Amino acid sequence: MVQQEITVLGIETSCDETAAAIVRGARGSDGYATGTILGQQIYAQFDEHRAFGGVVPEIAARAHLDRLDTVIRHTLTDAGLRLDQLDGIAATAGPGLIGGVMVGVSTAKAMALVGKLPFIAVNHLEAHALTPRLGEDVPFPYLLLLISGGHCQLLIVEGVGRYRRLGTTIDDAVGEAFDKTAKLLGLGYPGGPAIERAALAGNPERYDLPRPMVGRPGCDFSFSGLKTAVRVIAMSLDPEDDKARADLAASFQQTVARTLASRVGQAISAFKDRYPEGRALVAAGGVAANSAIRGALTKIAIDSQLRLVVPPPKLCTDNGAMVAWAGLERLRLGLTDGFDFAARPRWPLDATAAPAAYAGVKA
Amino acid sequence: MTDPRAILAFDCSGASCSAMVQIDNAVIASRFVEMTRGQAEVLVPMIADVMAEAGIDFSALDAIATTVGPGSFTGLRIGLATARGLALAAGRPIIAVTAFEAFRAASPAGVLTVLIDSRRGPLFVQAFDAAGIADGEALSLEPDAAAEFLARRHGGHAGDGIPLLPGYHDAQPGRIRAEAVALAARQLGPAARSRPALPLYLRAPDVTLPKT
Repeated sequence: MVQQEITVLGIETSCDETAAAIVRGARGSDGYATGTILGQQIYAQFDEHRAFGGVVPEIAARAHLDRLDTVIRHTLTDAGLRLDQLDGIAATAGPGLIGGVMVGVSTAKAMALVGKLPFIAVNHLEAHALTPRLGEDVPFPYLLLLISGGHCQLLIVEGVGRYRRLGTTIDDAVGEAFDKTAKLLGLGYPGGPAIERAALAGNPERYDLPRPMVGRPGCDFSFSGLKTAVRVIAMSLDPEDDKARADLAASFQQTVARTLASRVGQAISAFKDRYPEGRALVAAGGVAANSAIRGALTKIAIDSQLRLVVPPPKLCTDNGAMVAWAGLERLRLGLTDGFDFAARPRWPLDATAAPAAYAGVKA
Repeated sequence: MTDPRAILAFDCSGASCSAMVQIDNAVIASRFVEMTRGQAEVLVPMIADVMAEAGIDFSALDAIATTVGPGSFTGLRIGLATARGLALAAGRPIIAVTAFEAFRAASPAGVLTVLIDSRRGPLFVQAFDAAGIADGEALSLEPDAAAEFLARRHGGHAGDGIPLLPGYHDAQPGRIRAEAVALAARQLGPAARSRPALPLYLRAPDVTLPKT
């Protein structure tokens, strides 16, 4: 009898989380086909990077090497599985901080070689893009807002490996704007959760901040002007004035939410023109864990009669399950990679989209 | 573990990549290429090749020997991550050998200074006595200081850092071969087998704390 399910180990080391997970899903890719997380481990390198207010690539690479084999061992124990019970090994092979990516890819290749298993090189962005399908039945095509510390993009997800970019940041990623604002306000690292906590006590209407790109055609984003405006105000604040800092955090967060919603509105029109049958708006990436942003997206999805799908916060921030799931989706289509696969620091989902001049790998 | 009979050894910590399988002191399969980058694409296929040529399974290995540096940060991490992945999957132990020890193993007997290119200015230096035992800690020295260190030792020299010394620019840089890694693993004996497989960077990450 043909085995009906496949089980994949996923490894994530492209930024500051050392993570692994084992996911099981149906072998066939037709119809309803979500997956189950059998085991997972995550080691977040917050302590290693906190003093620097951001991720230091060499420190991250060293920490990944120190932790990864233990993280994988515990993941196998969690799942109660041995290597010979797996059907494939997937690792994030880019884009990201290449030193860490190479640690994950080298470990995955070595394990696959010993286990005589297929190796699957996963695009980190594709892992974010496909993760909503791990927990819910979300058929292709769907509109994806990918918002994280490294990226800010709007894409149509047409299928596994098939993406059409509608817009991207032309300068900073949205998560970067959160991290930098948190740093300016002395709220600590990582910036996203810190801003969200501070904003709870703040008045989002107090500061009138610029809303970059709003009203302009297209779906591109820009956050550098907003960042500058926040810096100018932050410099003028009394460092002891907690209320003013909370108000600025709240105003910043609301401005970002409104900006994103405005650009998503443009993208929905483009998506519906091309795919009138499209039914879902998906938000993924670490910034999608922010509840103010979820709120703004909920409203625009209702207005546009689209279903909003946002993975649970633990699957929005970087994790192993998203890599295992993307690996599983690729493996069941027969998409595997050789042991000579070269990790890619830059790896756009839509290779035909024009590069954005000041965004570098973020586009 | 008694003296390991079947060893898989490899290295990609410097400007080359090599792998070999040795059984009962006989080299069964071996590969070596010079390369300054791209080891992450070459190492695992190379290991697959030598294992296939040797015709043994990973479960038949007594040990997996690899270098832990010093050398290229990226290169030594590729080698160690690969070794740990193999060890985890095959349930076989790692023997961790320093790049100094690998160069020592490949050199004639006698007092020796090993000098390794850090690729960032200074050299990583370690001295060995006539019995092949490390004579003092590993150091990071600027080229002039490394040349003085070598001149005071009156012995031989090895390593890929030699051409960086004043007056040695025409010297050929040494390269680690997997045979030397296996030899060092055997020479070090049981002591090396209880060492944790930790990277030897000999240099802190280049970062400065933010000013505030």
